[in-house]
Amino acid sequence: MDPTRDNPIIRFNTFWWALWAFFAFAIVLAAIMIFNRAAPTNLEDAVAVARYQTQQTVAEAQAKALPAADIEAAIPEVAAKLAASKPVAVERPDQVVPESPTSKALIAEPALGPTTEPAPVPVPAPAPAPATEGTPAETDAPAPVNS
Amino acid sequence: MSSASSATPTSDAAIRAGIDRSLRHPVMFFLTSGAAWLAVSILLAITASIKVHCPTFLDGCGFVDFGRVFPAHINTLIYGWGFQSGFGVLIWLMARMSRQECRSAGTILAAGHVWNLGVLLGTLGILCGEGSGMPWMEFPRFAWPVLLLSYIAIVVWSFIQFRVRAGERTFVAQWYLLGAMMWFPWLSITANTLLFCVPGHPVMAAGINAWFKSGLVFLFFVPSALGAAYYLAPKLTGRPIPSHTLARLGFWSLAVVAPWAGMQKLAGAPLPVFLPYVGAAATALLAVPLLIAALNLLRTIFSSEEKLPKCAPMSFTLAGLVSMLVLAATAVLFNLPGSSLWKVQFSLSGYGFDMLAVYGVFGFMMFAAVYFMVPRLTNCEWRYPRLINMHFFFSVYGIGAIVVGAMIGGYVHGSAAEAWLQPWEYVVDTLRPFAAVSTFAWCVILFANVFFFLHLALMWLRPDRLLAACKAKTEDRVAQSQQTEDPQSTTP
Amino acid sequence: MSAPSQQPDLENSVPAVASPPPVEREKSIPESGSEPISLRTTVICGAVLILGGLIAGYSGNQFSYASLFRDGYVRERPPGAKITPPAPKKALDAYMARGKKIFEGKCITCHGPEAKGNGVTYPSLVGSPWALGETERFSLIVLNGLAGAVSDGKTYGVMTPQGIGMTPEDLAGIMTYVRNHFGNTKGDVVTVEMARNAMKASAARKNAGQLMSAGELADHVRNLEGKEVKPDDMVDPLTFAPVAVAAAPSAVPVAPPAETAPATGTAPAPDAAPPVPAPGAP
Repeated sequence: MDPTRDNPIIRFNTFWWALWAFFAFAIVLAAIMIFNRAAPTNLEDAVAVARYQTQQTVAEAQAKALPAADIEAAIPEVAAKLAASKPVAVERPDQVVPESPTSKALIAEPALGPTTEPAPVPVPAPAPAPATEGTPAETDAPAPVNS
Repeated sequence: MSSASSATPTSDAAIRAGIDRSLRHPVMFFLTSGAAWLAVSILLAITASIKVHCPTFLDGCGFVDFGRVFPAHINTLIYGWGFQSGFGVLIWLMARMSRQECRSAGTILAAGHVWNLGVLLGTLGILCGEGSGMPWMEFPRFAWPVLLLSYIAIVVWSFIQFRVRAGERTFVAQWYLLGAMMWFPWLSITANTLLFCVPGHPVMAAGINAWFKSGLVFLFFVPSALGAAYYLAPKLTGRPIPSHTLARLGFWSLAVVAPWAGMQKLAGAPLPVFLPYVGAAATALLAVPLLIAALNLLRTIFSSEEKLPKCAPMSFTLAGLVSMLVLAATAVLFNLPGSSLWKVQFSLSGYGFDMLAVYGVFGFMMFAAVYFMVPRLTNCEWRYPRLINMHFFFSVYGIGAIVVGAMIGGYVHGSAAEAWLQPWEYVVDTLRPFAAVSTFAWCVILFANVFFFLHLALMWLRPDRLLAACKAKTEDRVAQSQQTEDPQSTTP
Repeated sequence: MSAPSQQPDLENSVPAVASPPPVEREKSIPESGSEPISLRTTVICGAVLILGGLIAGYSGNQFSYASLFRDGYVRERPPGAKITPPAPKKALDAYMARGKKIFEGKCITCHGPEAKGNGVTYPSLVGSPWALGETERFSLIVLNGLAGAVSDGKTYGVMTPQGIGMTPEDLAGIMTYVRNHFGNTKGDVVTVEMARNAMKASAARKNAGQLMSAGELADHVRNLEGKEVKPDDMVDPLTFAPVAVAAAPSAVPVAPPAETAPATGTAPAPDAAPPVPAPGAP
């Protein structure tokens, strides 16, 4: 056994050397990053500066144009519209699956069956119109036509 | 260990016993909590794997969406199981080889608890959707400094033990363990600072992440496994490592080549084109240190005509060495740019390769070390050899199934993805049977590891009934060995 | 033995082994040997080294941070594919198709699907004098964005510049589309050459890179220079280069149908090289 190597001073030193060894790579990385922070040399970086500036302007303008109070006020209106556009339950079915319980009930009581007039065919909404406009038009079709 | 002038067998044993006693609590804590995290990770792996071939499995629960449960699986496997078992084995091996008792068991234990807390909070963060989305670094941002600092608090004492060791001789295992201890902070600080703290180019961030992933495998897990292997093979067999030069060559080639590997995952990305191909070349070249170490150790084990000791550490070491050979072969075969690199880049093969490295190579070596260490730490023989057998065989079958299912299947998956005129559904259909094989493999491995965890916990906690049973068992075995020449023992 | 307690023995104070305990059965690690490295190892490692070198050389450009792809890289043709050049189209249709893609990708989010805006933050392009008027003014708005009052004197929101990364083909397409769609019927084609001149003019501005304003636009009330292309001229739909079509179908009734069929702009054959990246790309 070599007693001179195992003493508190060497232990203390080794502790700090080990910590230094752990962080050595990080120190080298930091040094490389600091010395490599150059001004933009290519077109992409130079244009990027102006772009970020413009992006900030646009973002501020859009944020100003989007007041939270208006959105809060609009929510109940939109909610009411959505609720109104929900399809209602059919009272008189236009199509009945054969052999189903409904058809059997109808055989017993024909008055609840579909009317003799065919349901109005929904006019297809024009192609570029957004989906929300199409929905109310389609849901009008199955609404019951009471004779 | 024979350089000391006054080393007698009894004083050797007394020194070893003293070291084991000093390290008992930290190491057993790491091993047991590591085994618990392993079981958790495998459960998450099964869930993730099922979701690949049956996407509607558990689809109502947001916590187990694939995008959450798969990162949770990977991160608990690495940080919960991988690092903790690595800590346990690392500090014990370094203490034993430096012949120094551990004076900081309390600090290490406290740091271990902090590590566990970090992993737990990180995993919960991932499951709640706060994961960072970067593979193998998915813990939320707060986690990495916590883990790094507790890591340092755990391993710095091993550096001190190495420095104040008696005698001039260093073991091959010590080189690898020192390397592993030092390389992880470098990897972690670099990758985490560049990805989380400093703004940078996002495509390069993906490259750095791929580099970190590969570095963690080849600069921490594989060196730790090699350290354990270079300790266990000569220790269990009593035979020397055949070639010291070859061992040195293997170590330095790993140290020089492994930091270049990793970016092959981004071949084709808008990165400077040499980066991914240098990464592919480095990964292929890593076959050299892996082959060297495996050949060296297999020659150690099989070099003489004597029978091998039939015990769990030996079996697991051999399994780990075979996995190392398979890993070396696939490192070459999966990185050929003209043909296979395109096919395995984004397929299940990458996952299979990672699992072979983390579970096959590293996991088996850690199990070998665990089965060696725990009787010495707890002064108790393993109670249920049948559980050990089950653990071994089911783990081997499971890893074999992963190799077939994930690696080979991933190659087929990648080939299907390359057929770009086909709809994506075709690719998923090709993948489905191999993903099912992976699920089955993980179920098998879970089965094995649940028993491993229970066995380990019983060894540590040792309720009194078990104590009496252990004693009775050992007395039986000693009596048996006195009757027959060939003991069927679980420990050497 | 005392009465068995059920407390776990965490200190492992009671050894549960008969002698010898495992620590005494351990062997010592012997000194490593110094056998020479075998030929087999050298050959295998040499083969791996050569393979690694070949892989590293595959990229062609070592340590060149400026090259982002291999020299001579050509996208692979799928097996069995024939390269058929896209059929020529009428100029107006070709430019409008390109402009439609750009509009639905970029402009629709603010100006709306009918280009009517919302009256508050996004102005309408239907009948807009600046969109339908002189082309240079319109092009500068598209390239540099706009802040402040627009043609009707009201101030809407701020328009984001669209010039970064825009090719002359894109710019010509979007301008042609807006001028000839949504109820606008200007009837002319803004060509690629005109778009290139617009980009030059935009780069030559005194405060290049900043948003336009109504005042500055007043200095650019002119049409862009460039050879005029009639709406019915045939062009290549990808490059917008004029294509000399074979003689118009003669009076003889035996007119090959191939002459007229491509002009209707059918979808390209499925085995032609598609211009969009494959879905598997990273």
